[in-house]
Amino acid sequence: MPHVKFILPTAPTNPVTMNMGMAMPSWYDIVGLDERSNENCAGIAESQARIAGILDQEHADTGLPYDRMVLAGFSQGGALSLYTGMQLPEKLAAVVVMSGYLPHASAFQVQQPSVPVWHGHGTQDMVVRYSLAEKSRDAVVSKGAENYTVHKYPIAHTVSPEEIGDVLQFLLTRIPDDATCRIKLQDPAEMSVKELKVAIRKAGLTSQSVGLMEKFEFVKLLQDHRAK
Amino acid sequence: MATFVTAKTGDGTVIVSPKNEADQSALVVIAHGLGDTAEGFEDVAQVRLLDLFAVVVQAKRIDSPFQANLT
Repeated sequence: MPHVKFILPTAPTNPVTMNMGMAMPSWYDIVGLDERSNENCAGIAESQARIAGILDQEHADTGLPYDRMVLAGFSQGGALSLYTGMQLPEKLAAVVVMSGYLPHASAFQVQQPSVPVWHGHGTQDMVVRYSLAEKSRDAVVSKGAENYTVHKYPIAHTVSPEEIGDVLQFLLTRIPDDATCRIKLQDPAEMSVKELKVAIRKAGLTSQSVGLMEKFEFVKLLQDHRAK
Repeated sequence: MATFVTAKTGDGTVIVSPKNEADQSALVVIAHGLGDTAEGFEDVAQVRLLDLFAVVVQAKRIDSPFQANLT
């Protein structure tokens, strides 16, 4: 998928009640794994806002439509992706949940019922049990979601090559390469020298820029790279 | 020749972009599980989606007495 940009945020490190208060990267606190405990998700609003902010920033910077964006995640990250993606004011291309669940269900409201949710889960998962996948689907559908599919795999709390392949195929149907959706980039000729240097570094062109002195040379390097 | 460029921000976010950013027409945000970080992606995330998810799995296999409680 050479047309896809991936953003992989790291959660803040905070004590996790269920793990005896041990501090670790976590999107929100986890008290326990039963449904009642899933209502206590201190910090989830902050993480929800952070993930939504990533999407908003991308849209503001590049003009990429929200329906060309996917939220995905594993386990707690999958739970956060589901919680965030279905409650956005904008419609995403899809939400992918791997071995996750619906957290804080009492506060959850579906804002985008037509966003497809692809949920993969291991039938041998002893951490987040498979039954929770089906319960999550039922809860989200009961709140209005129109397209929530659960895919079962004979695995524990992990993902398998088969599941990975299925996710990839799903993503290719939701966000295939589409030249009409290419991001809008600032014209190199309109960039400051500082902006040019950042863009050249991001493009991996630093070594090719060695020896260039004039601004027009940097502009041409970037223009030629984009035209390839 | 790599088709992606990887960058990391101060808050630990890893960004894997098409080398020619003008090629981008979609975005996927991937949130890791409890106890993981995005840093484990850095070396291989440039390759392709399959590798990304493979790293998710590797990062998940933390040798910890608390592993059973990681979600």
